[in-house]
Amino acid sequence: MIGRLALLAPMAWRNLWRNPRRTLLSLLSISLVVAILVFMLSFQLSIYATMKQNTLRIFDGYAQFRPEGYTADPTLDRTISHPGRLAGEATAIDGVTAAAPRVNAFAILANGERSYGAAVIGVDPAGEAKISSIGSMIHNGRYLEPADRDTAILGDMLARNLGLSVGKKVTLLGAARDGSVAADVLRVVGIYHSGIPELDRSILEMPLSRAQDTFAMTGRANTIALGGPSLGAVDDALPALKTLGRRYGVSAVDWSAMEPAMRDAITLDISIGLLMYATLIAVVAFIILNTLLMSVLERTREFGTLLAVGMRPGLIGQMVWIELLGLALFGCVIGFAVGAAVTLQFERHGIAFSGMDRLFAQFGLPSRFYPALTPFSALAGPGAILLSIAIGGIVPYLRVARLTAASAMRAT
Amino acid sequence: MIGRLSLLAPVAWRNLWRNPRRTLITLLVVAVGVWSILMFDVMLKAWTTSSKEASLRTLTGEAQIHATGYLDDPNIVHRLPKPDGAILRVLNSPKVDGWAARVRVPAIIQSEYRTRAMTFLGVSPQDEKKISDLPSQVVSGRYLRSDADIGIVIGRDLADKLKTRLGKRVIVMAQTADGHLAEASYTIVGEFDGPVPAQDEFSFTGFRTAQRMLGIGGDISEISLDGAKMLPLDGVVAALKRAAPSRDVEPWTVLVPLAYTMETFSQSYIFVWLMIMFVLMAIGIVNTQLMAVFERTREFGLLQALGMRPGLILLQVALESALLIGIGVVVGVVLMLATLIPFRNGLDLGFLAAGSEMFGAGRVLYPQLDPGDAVRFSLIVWVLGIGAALWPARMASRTEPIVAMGEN
Repeated sequence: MIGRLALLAPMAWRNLWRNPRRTLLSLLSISLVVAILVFMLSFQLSIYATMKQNTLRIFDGYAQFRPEGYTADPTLDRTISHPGRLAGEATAIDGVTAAAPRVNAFAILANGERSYGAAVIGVDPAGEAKISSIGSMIHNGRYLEPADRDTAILGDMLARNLGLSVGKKVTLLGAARDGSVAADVLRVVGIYHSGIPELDRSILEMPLSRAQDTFAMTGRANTIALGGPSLGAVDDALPALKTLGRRYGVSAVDWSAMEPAMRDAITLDISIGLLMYATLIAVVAFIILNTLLMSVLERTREFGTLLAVGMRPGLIGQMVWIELLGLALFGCVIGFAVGAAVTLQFERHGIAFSGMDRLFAQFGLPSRFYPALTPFSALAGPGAILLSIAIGGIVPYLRVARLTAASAMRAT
Repeated sequence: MIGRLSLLAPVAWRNLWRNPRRTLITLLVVAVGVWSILMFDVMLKAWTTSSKEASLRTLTGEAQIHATGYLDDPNIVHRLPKPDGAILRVLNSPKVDGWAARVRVPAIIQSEYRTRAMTFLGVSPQDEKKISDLPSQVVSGRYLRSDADIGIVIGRDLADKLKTRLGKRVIVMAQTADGHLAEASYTIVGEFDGPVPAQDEFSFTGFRTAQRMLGIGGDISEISLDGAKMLPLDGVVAALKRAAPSRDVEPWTVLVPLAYTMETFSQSYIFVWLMIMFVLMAIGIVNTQLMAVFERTREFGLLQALGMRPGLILLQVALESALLIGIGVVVGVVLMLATLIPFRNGLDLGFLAAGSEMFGAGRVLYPQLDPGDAVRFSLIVWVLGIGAALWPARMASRTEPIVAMGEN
């Protein structure tokens, strides 16, 4: 096998350069497509990663413990008992660095004549700061502190609509877990701005212990948000988290269960992208096969001579196939080098979409994106092209393998 | 010129089919390229149309008028008197196809089991039907009957989330003009379908019922309108701004920036894709035609020796390419039309609906080939393709008869 390759490879290589212009044009088309694929995949996948990471870091956390059925029907009376102990055990798992129990209630907030409905989240200030970035988005006042009792922070749109500012009091009126009336008065200590209208318009955070008292949730929580060094690290810890959760009768959910709309959006975008990449690969494969087929037809007489002097048809077919693969491989290497260079360049400086800042902010995205060259994004494109060209190469191979010396030498 | 073409065209046509396989593969490259450009165009168009329709035909309309400050803080204090005078004249002029006045305030809805925040609207059913598709999307029960209807129409998804259903009563709480929190009980008379975010957010009752509950007399919160089809919307908005200088008049491009950005950006994406595909097609065409020209060097030498001028040879080879690319383009368009047949009743994104709604589009896309786009992109590919094919044509016309005929 090796011996045969050593014989055929140099011949194939020389054959390629018998018509340099044709070979160069083919190389150009392959490398162009490979470069585009490497860059686009690196870009697209990094946008998804940024999207997930950014969205989850604002509020959800990278994963959560939730009572059974809570995802489908999130209500106050689905609770986790012993949240403190579960949180403690969760942080002992590799890849999980923080666990923050939450109470998720709903209440009517009022300030004087104005009232709005909003989600009221009881949070543990110390743990929460490691998971959610809302604390760092406070532009007025401060975030909740562990010693706080009757304090609250809220989004700027909600504050504006309620006519609240730092230092003022806000009244809560809602239903507690046991069906009784939950009422409380809190002092606003901070106002945050995330740029995401849903968060800025509808969330108030208060200290966990106070929320547990107000909503008859003593010793209980609705969810436990989990944080770690990265989304990937927490995803890797998910099996261990699920096992731990089962012991407490709760489920561990990952990002796709917490943000189903984002998961669907990404799937949709990938599907459209794949369709487009597939047509790109199909076009380039047609071009290459066409070129090779022409060169094969041109050389029919030469193949006849080779057959006449005793070369087996299969061997000629293999030579042609190696020519094709050599061409594809060479094009992939050039395209990969160009694509990777461009990607790395942008990886350093980022790509800005001018004028899109506010729109992106609504989805929790930055205005500058950094493509990331990963082994997958670098190799998937070239791999797909090599594979489709190698498979398509069967057509010229079969054609050559069918040749007989007599008819081939008579060909015009 | 015409005479020359009628001489060359049949020759060019026959030349194309001297090597049918080569011609077919090149045709395929052009056809797949054109197909992919059109596919991209059709999908993005369907997408942007859907995202525009989803927001405009749900509730937004093409433009809205509010009291200054309402968009930032949709409180009941930011309200308008019923339109009259100059503004009413513009609204009732031929510049405006339809308009509806609404009461629209943030509120809380409560069933026996659940409480949620939502937006409470008082609408005029007759006017609403002219500018919104929601009235026709009622899937159980009925839509509102009159301005004085005392029932409530809510989204089907909201009903599920509240664990309530048609015929049950819900409590709506909202702030009134004098500042207290009013509570009123409504019977659910209808449930509507549509984008899930809209189902969860909007609940409707009669115009006058809402005015009475909020104690605002004849006042309203917003006017939503559709401009006349034939007029540019900017002009209609400008006329309204002149008629009501103290009000906040905004077109949909400002009200739903997502839909607007999608529309602008998709155009540039299509052109980037067209360029990429075109470069590939050009390489494919040039490669094949160069090959075809080299094969026929002796033939071109002979033709020149017989007295055919180089310009005519160039014309002939260019004509062959024009025919080849032309057929490829037509095949591409036909392929595209064939691809659309299975989706003539809409492409249901079904299980990905939440994702498409996150981007502001509906769950069903209606892919349609815009004839203008089909012609435009086909022409661009055709003309640029002929341009690329001039290279091989030039090679052919530069053949030296003596050298060419001596070649083996």
